Amino acid sequence: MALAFEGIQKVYPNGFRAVNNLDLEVKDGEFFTLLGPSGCGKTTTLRMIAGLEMPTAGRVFIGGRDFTQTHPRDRDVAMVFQSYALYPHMTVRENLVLNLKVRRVAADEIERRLQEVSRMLGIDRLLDSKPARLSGGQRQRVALGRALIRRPNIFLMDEPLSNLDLKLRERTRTELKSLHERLRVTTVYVTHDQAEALVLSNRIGIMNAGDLLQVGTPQEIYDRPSSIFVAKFVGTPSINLLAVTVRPEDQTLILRQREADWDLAGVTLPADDGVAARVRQTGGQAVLGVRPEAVALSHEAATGAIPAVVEIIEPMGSVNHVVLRFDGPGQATIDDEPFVVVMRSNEPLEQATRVWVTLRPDRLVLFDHQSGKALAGLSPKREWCCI
Amino acid sequence: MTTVNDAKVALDVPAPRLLSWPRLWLRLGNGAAAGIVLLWLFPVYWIVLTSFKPTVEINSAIPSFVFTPTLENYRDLFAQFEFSGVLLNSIVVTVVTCIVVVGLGVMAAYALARLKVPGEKHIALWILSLRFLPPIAVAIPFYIQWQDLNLLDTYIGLILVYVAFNLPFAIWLLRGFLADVPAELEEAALLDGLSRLQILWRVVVPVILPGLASTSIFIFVFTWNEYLMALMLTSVNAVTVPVTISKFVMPYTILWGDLSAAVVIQLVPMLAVVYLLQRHIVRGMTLGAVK
Amino acid sequence: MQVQRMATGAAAGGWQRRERWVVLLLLGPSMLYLFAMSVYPTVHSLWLSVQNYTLYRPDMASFAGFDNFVELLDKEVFTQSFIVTILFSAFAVTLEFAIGLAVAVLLDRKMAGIGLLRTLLIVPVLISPVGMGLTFRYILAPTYGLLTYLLQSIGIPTADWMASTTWALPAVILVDVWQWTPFVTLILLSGMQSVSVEVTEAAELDGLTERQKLWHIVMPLIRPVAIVVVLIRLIDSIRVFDMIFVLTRGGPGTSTEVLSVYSYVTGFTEGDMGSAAALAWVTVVFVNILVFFFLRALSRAEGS
Repeated sequence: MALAFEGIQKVYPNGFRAVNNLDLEVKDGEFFTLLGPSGCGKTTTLRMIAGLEMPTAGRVFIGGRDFTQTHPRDRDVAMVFQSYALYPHMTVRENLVLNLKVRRVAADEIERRLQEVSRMLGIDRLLDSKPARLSGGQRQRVALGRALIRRPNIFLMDEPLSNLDLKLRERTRTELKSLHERLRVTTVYVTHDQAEALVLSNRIGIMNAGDLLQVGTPQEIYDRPSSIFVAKFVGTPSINLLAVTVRPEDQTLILRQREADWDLAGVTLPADDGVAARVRQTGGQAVLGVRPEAVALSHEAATGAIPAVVEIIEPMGSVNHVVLRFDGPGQATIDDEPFVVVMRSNEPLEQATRVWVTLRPDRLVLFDHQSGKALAGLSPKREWCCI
Repeated sequence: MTTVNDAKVALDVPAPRLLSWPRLWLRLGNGAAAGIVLLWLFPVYWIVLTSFKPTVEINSAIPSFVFTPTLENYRDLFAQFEFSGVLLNSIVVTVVTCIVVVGLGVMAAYALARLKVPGEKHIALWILSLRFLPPIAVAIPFYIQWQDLNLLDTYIGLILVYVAFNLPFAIWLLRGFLADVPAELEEAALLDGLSRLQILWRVVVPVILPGLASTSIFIFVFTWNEYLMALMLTSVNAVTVPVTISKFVMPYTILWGDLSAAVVIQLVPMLAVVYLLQRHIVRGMTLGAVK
Repeated sequence: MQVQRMATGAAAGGWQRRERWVVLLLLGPSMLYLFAMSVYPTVHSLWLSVQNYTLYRPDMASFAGFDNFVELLDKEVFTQSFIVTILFSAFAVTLEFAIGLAVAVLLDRKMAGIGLLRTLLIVPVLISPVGMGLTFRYILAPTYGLLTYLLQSIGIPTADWMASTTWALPAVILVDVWQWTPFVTLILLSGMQSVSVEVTEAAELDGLTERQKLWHIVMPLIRPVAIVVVLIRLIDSIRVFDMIFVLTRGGPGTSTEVLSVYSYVTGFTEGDMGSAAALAWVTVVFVNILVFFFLRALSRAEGS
């Protein structure tokens, strides 16, 4: 079932704006994730789908019908809470079937679904236990089962993996994904973990401070972030942001530093293009976003390469995170963050050695240095496109 | 400069006996702790003992610890003073009060906990102030009014008053217990399709069952032992145990035997109740200030 | 203690508004009942206090304005009763707190059976004040009382405590202290045990002795709890009735006639319901003033 938000707003009586003017469409069968930092309004939005919160303005459509005023129990929406919210005084079996019993489903149908769901989630041995005796992972499956057994139109999940330890989280993540592939129920998922969002979703909606900043597939969000915030939020290690100027004569980008400016060879803006126009509008200043993997290092100088020194090497197993320090005072990055490059660990590199940095065109993005909005991105084919 | 031998000798000197003092104190402390508690309870022990003494021993100038126990006091209680009727009165009044108060209280506390009621702080303060009211202040109007309504010396008359006395405290206590129930539990139930009342009955109440139990225990104790109201509002038919006990103090003599037997009988249910209460006592007694 | 609210919305339309009614229905009966049962006697009692109302001839009641209150202030018996009440409360609560604290410190330990000991502490509270009062009357009795016998056998002169104007008040204070000190101990003990172990361990490492630990660390931390328990005991001791009534009836003379007993006697023995009501109200005001001051001290002790 498709889901739509039209002009949704949520303002609390004390004046706090949790959600600002949200317009969103979730396609039928899609796995959609609301991603953002704590307090950005993603959980509030999720709860408005369920009907647990009422929007101050706007409407909620499920399957094309206006459900804004409808009681949660009549929306055919199931939710997995962050704390699982299992009924502590009931056994697993009773927890799972309560919602079916309340809706007067026939006993044999209940039994059938119970067997199906409990076997699918691997909790069929736990049916007579009470939640207190189960591990975190088991409780999570029961919560999932409680939602699944209803065969709802829409699945809601509020950070269901956040209480699990790392290994279990990764495994459950994979299982959730395969579950979704199998059942194809429209799912709205809330998390602050961008890795989860990238792995699980068909599409992601990034939120911050009540605003929906960008909606797109994981790859779109990663390759063409619409703002600095989005670029920084998605991707580990964080994207590197350099202050650059556009040289008017030949439209090349110049890396600005306190004492020396470096020519970013090979990175040229097209002369008469929307892109160039936009950059000109900002007075020729911009911010260049460079993903850690979009950098090539060499031990010899080359034209257009920028000299730097290897400051720290963080071994991560198959790759190394390398922190570079460019010549000259201060950091090259705009917010004094370290400039991180991801290299394969079998490439030899030593601390405190000099290297020469060349930027690869994949995943370079230009941002307006004042508004943070994306201006253009450079594709691997060395073509600029507006974002 | 010490030689190796000197050093060895130094090691052979036993450690100073500082360790024995703390241990001695601790053991003394443990004994003293137990002793004080047990000693404190002596009057209880004494009255229980007294209830099994024959009258001759009770009134003798030399109190005895060794004697032939007898049940004559208990028998006399039931035979001469229709104590079984009095006991029944107490039981009925207390149990009914408990049930009514907990029933009404849990509903009211739930509403207060979940619903934004205007002037909630004022209501809470008012409810609290009722706890501090001297019973004598309201006893007089109740007496007069009950006289007019012919409710004196009836179960109903007494129960109505006891419910009014206990309800505020029960609501206060239950509200505290309800606050510990996570909202997500009720939200899950909402999504599962339960109505508000079903949620209260099938989800919330089972979860706060221990809280309900300890609240009803407080009410039980208070009502079972209550004196002033029972004294004023009952005489013959609905008279309760505490009032009857005080009646054993007669103008020229005090029937200690029957009295002590009655006190013991009154105490027994309370002891049973404490066994169940333990953990939640403190919370109720400090109005939730300490958990 | 965070109270979870039902989800709200300025639109607050639809299903939530409809549910409000159901929830209000849950609250209604209790509130109505309490309102009726508390407002009514309050109003009636206030009315009584400004009336000349006798129990035996209610038909002869007449409006008396503030006469009842004024008369009270004149009466020596009233001043006497007030003083008795204050003496009773002050001594009882002070003793209960001092002894209670000492015992709490003693019981704040790990020991086999400590749970049982603490449970036993509740027993005095459970016995009805009536039963307790009379038990002590038996123990303190001049001829066959245990205490009399014990004191005489070690040569200390005894008297008929309950019949002596000097000893009756101390005697009832003794009973009250006996019954309620364990209560104070229990509360203080639970306050002490909520002091985190790590704090006391840090104190030990810093080199504090047991006495210093108690004085500088534990006591300040349990101050809020202590204030609450003293407040509760203070108020309950001002309202005391059962135990005193059954032990001495306020006598001999008026040496143990606390305000509640005085009020009862005025109303039911002398039949002057008007004055009794006025007296009861004076007690209420007195209690409320105390509560106010203590709550202020409490909020200051708990910080902002």
